[in-house]
Amino acid sequence: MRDWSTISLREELINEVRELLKTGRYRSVSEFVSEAIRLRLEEVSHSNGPATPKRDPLTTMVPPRTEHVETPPDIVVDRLEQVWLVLARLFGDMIQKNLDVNAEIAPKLRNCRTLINFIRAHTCPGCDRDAVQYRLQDLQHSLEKVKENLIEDALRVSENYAKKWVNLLDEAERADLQIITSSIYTFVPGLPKDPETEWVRLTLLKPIAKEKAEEISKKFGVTTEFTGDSQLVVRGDKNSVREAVRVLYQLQS
Amino acid sequence: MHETSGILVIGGGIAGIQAALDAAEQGATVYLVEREPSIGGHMAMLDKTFPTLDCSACILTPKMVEASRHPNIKLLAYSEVQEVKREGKKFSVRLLKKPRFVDESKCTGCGVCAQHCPVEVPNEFDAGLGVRKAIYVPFPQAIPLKYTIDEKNCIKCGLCQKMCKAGAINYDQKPETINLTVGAIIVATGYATFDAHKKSEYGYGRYPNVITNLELERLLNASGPTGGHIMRLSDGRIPRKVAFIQCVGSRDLHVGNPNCSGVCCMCAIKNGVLLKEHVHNVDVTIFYMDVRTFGKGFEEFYQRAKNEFGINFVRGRVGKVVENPETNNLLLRVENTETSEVIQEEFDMVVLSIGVLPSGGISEISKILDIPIDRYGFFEENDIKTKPIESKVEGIFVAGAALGPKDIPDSVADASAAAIKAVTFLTGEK
Repeated sequence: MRDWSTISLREELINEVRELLKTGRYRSVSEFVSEAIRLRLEEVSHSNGPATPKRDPLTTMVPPRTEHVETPPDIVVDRLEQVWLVLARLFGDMIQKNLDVNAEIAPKLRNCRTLINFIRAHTCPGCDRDAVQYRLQDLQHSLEKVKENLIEDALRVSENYAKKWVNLLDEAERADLQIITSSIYTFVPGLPKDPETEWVRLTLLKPIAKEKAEEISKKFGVTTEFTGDSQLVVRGDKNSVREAVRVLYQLQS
Repeated sequence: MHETSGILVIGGGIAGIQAALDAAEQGATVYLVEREPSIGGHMAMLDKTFPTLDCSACILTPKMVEASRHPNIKLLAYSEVQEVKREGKKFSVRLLKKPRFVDESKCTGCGVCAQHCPVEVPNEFDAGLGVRKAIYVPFPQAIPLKYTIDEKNCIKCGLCQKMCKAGAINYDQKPETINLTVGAIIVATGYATFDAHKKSEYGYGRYPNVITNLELERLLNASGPTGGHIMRLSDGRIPRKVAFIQCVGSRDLHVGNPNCSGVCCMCAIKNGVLLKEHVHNVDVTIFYMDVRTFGKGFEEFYQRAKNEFGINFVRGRVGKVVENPETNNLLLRVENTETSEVIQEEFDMVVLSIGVLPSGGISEISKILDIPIDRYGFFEENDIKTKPIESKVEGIFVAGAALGPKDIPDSVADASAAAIKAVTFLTGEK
């Protein structure tokens, strides 16, 4: 049987933690305090220098959180998405370094992304909450598996390398990371809608001269309209548009 | 059940997904083939479903996820059926898996490639309203979540290759042939919509604020190109007065389609109600020939739309839509055939309820499978009364809107029936 102790804290501090509970990141004051103590202990052990006994990076990871049943799924999924993004970056980093990565990781990461997108689409009041909770648990479980596999692979590189990523994953677990994801709103009023012509909107890395763009438009028989310094809409016949866009893009270099 | 006694399901819309799930649950190995990069079909584009106003995604996406994770279902998206040969009681099938130019064993679905792609084109999934990149997934909930390079719009700038840390971009990927042997086939190729440009009197394509009901679905959808905000295409302004014109490309001999599309009346009523919920004090008028609300709960929904939500219903065929070039507002002239009064009224936005037509590839599939199509262009039932989901060829079944205009419940019912028929057919062989 586990032993428990009672500690005393000032009411102001407790109230601040209670405020934090409303965000759903922690389910109780005890959970918050336990985590705070564990992290502080870790910091102290780091600052003690080499005399501190070595710890396996896996054991220093924040343990998978069992979500409180009432934590809104969108809050949970926000945090899990951050974890997913770190894992995807770790996977990419290992591929870049030509390291041997478990072949199942990419499909598993894709499956996790699918589940994240699924849960995000299910936030309306009429949604089947049980299905969402089921997929949420599925996602947590799948992410844990990917994390285990990737950290195992990372440990083969070096302990420091694995630890660096473990720390990032810890931050994501605590929702301290804020990796920006792209917006989904893609509608732009006033874009062409003419069935006779194709159009492409091209975003350049740096602006090009309007005269030069006009010259190319003339050459390929297309029309070009600047919608920003380095953004233009090219309209015309399908093949001509593609060729013109290719040439316009090359103008930058 | 023997591995080669599997079932080929052609089409990954709601009917195909349901048929695949039901057959797989019975223990059959199912090959679900979809020509687009993702399964989901038209239903994935819809906002809410009538008459209950249930969220379309809430119904569909769990089925999509289930289909992708079911151990008995092999999902073959971005693939097309090229040849089917009868070999005794089995079918030998040749599929073409189109190249995505993305290595599926490396792509994590992170989307960094699409963020950096410089080329934007109209997104077919958003009915052309939103934009997508030349490397894309059609929509966030796409299944499988695999990025695809649209070959015809890619300028091979190399940015995606440079940015993909996983090294998943492969410009040299080639089409792949897949050979299968199956014992039964379910055709669920769905439908196409009428091209509103053909009714030039309504100005679709010329006037930006004339849109189709499918485009309105995307505007209403919270995961659509505007995040669920209703706005005019010309200036992004919120419309305060909206007209629906019914039977555009349906019940119209001039365009060669004498049929009623069956779903447009309820779609327009549903979207009218949703508009009322989205935009405070919006004025909605539906111009109709007949209101056909034949299903369970449909008539009650129509009455609620009229009496509770205050949608105006005017019986009359709109002759012409004229745009005011200064305001981009639209002037409609129509005779109310109930009162014989000629109405001339200006609207901020006009929604065309476009008809349901046979799917674009239906003739090709008909030739490949050697199953006939009827005089309306849809697949012909073996017997419309007693064998409504069997084709004229033994072992080939048809479900959903591939047989004719159908709403979601009817398509799902068809699909379940086709799955049972196909499994029974296989079991009977043993």
